[in-house]
Amino acid sequence: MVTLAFFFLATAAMIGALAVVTARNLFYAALGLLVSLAAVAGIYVTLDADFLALAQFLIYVGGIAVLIVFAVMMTAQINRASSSHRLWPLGLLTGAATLAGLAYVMINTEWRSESRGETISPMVGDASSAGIHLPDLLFSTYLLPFELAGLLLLVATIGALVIARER
Amino acid sequence: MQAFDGLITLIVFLPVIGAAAVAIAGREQMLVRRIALGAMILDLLLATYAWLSYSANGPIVEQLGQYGTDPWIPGVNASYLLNIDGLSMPLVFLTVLLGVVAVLGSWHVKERVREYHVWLLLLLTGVQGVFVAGDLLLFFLFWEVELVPMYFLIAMWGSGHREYSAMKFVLYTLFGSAFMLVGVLALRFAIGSFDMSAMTLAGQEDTLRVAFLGLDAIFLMFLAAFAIKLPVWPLHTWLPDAHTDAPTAVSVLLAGVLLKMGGYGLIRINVGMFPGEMEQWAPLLVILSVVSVLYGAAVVFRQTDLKRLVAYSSVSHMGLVLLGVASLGAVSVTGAALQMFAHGTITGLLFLVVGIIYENAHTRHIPDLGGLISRMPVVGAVFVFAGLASLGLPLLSGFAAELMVFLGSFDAYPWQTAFAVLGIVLTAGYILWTVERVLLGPLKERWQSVKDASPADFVAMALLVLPIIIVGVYPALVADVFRDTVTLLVGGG
Amino acid sequence: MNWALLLPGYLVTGLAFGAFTLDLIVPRLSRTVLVYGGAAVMAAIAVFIILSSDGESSRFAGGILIFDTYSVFFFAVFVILAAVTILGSSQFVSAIDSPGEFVALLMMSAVGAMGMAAAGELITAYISLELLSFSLYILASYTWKERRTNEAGMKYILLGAIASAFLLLGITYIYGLTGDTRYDQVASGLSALSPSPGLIIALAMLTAGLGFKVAAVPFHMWTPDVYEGAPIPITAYLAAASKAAGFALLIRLVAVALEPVALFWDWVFILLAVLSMMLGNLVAILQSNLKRLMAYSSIGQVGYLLLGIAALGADDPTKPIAGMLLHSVSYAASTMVAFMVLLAVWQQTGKEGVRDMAGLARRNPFLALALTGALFSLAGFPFFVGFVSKFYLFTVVATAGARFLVPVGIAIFASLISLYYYLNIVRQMYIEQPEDGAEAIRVSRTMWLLILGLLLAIVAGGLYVRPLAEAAESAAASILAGA
Repeated sequence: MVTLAFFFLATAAMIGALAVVTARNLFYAALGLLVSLAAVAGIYVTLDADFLALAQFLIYVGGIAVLIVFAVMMTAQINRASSSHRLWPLGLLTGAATLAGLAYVMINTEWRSESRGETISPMVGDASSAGIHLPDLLFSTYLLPFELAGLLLLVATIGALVIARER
Repeated sequence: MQAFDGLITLIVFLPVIGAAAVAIAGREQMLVRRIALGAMILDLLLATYAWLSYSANGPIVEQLGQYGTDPWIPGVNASYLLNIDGLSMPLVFLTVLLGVVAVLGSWHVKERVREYHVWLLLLLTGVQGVFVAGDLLLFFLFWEVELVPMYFLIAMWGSGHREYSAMKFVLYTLFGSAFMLVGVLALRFAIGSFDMSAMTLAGQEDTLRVAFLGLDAIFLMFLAAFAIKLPVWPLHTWLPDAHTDAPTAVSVLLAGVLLKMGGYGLIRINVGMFPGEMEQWAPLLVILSVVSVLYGAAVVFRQTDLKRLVAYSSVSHMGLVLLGVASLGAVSVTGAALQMFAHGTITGLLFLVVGIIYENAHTRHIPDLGGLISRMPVVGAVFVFAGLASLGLPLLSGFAAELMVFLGSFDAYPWQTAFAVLGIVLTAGYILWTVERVLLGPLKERWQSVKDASPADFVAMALLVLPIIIVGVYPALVADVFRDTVTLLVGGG
Repeated sequence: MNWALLLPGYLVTGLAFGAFTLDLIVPRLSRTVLVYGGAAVMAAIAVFIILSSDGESSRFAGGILIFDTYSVFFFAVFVILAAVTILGSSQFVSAIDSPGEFVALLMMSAVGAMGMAAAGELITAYISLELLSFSLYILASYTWKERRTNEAGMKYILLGAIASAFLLLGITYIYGLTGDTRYDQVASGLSALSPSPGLIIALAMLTAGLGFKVAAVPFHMWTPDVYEGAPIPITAYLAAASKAAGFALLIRLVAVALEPVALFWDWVFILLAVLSMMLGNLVAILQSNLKRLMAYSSIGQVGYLLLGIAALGADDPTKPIAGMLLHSVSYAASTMVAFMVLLAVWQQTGKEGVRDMAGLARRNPFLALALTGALFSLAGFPFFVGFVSKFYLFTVVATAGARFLVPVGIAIFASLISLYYYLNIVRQMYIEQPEDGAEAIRVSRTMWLLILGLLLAIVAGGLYVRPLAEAAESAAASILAGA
């Protein structure tokens, strides 16, 4: 079940990301970004990283994506695809090389793991397994980071308004 | 906690107070000049008092805070430490004296008078600070701080290629001080504080160790900074430009005291803190000094600008300072210090006279001048006097100083000294030739209405003529004071 | 947990909400109240922070946020810088459509910066950094209809997002390797590890992400464009506060979390430092726009500060930390003066080129004097705070180990280069003649007082730096005591 959900979400993230770079209309690109970011947040949920999922939602889906969508809507004169597409082979090459490098390192690194009896901080890991519930954490341990993230969202919203209004 | 009676601080910072008073004095030009003059005269009285106090009680030290436990700037262990010892005392006095002369010599400045005097007074504080700093950080600070006023004074009130000359002066000095800063940090690294007396002690006892760079490198870094300032051939090229294009009073200060910062640094730091390295590099320095003496004197003959001529003669005379220092005997180093004092007054006077001639005749081009003595008898007489002092006439201060340098260095470097003496012959030649071309001969038609010195000029000249005679007749008055400290620095190794 | 220590953060946040709502309720009178009231309350908060600091340390939730002397030091710095920026924006605020949001965003950004200084945990640090960055993205694009502002804003947002991605990736790797994101736990996790490709990638990503935020070469590309495009008060704030915040985060991160690998990684910081100080200062010579010139000069200043980061692997990192604190404060104050003068000139003439400063000494002697003081302080000239702080920093770095002597030597030469282009501006002001018909420049009383106050501060700091240096040293000691 979890595996199925992972593949579903991962595919959604990939499709969203592809849409970002291929869409001719900037608005669709921004929407694709939204989908991709939301799917990544979903992946966090399947991994029991609840706080991270929440942060991803707040900051990326809520903040950055909204800001970008607004920015796109405001800058009407550049809503055509940019001319930098001619450089796509170079971009592809760089992307592929980076991916290969990161993947190589990721596979060859010995990550810390609970399955080997090593401790993992509840900050990111599975909180509920330790008998703690997310709301409790949010209003005690993570209270301040949570409030900071809330402020961040507020700033993004204000920003979108300002950009819309200022001339 | 050592005694702090504020005397040195007051002497050093009185010009700053004067500058502040000038800044708020308003647009009245005469008031500005009087405030500046008053501040400097007061400063001169204080410096005289300090000298008397020095002869009675020995070196004066002032410190705020303590190294280690209670430093001025914690973390880097620097302290506000000023001291006046035998090496500093005459130079501080010289600076203040030339300060008075400079203010008097600026009486004719008409443009942006207020700003001019602010910069002039700030410059004087910077130079005095170098001579009294007992903390290496403070030394470096004052060393740097003098640059800004100098830049503006030359670039804004100078003549000719003034901006070029000002920039050249700043860049040369900065280049040197960048080296010096590395040296300063390395010494701090070795000693653990910026206490110059601790550094001198370690140097004299041969316990100074600097990891990584080595003592030779540090020695050369300081040497570079001081050699540019002194200046030593081939690092002298900024000097003729800056001296020539600076306004009169600033040329007086440049030649009179700014060059002495280089000589002071050489004796205080290179000789005092690195006696071993100094000994090792001395033969090369002696050769450079002889080249400076001869080159400066030879190039003088080709000059047609009166001010440039005096400037090159400075290169030659400062070569003698290096010769005295590099010979490393108590007599020769004392002679070098005395030469700094004597040259300060003599060349100061020469620049002043040249400035007065330029102010009245509006040219410094030697072939255009001639026969001026009949129209400006006072200025002419002082010019002759200064020229004679410069070529080392007995019973004037230059003679005593040069004699001590030669006597001191002859034992160690007889041949080189003999060549340097040749420079004196050249000096006599160009001085007499110049006097002849400028003052004697038929008076040209256009100079019929040239005026003689103004009262302010007259007082300024008198202030410099007196010490030249006094020190010439009784050199021990200054030389003994220098010797107190020089023997500690040279003899201890 | 001492909850009183949270108060400054909440006060500033509350004030931001106040500014935002005031504008909604009484738009008529709000502009004056916003600027003067906002700045006054911010100043009061700063005074409160300084007075209530008693050297006590308090850790929130096992070290997610740490309220020690170090945090308090930066709290005061950020709040003061925000207050100065608000005051300096008075004219700008009266010309825009959303003044309340402008002031509120500035305050929010200060909250983000405070979080960066106090964060003792990677994700919290990251969120705080994003709070600061978001506010700045918007503030920098405030006049987005202007073409160069629009471009600069876009560039800032896009490159900033990429840098954040790097930073997050770095955090991910660190978490994967050590199993924790709290600094002290990360340190104990790292000390058990030997260097591996994973560790190198983690460190490289963190360095790149934070390098972007503080504008170190080679992650500096955005700086000149954004500095030029943003409104001048915001440029000042970017140069002073945003940079200090970046270092606030970086210092605690490297000194605590990355302490076990500091010696392994210090050559990277040395390299970045040398590149930044050389490139920044050399390229600054070529600039004809003062904002761009200041951008490159700020890159050079980052180089000096990075030397301090590199020296954190030394036996006693207290001194390098104190040196960086001192220099970042001194740099912030000096650069603020410079930008405020630039702002005063720009408000009347609309010009901001180096040549437009010609004859400023005649058009307004006070402004010329203030700018001269600021530039000399930036160049590290005696009797200004910049000399003392730079000297302090260089001394402590040089004494941290023989391998730093050559980088410090390079830094000294870089300062020498910087003096050249600063002097060039001074030359324009004092020696060049003003253009024909150039009129005297008037300064509003607010700006006059603001510039005078800052100028006195940089002179006072140059003459007697001890109180500030002692504050920096106790702040530095508090980071290490808590770890």
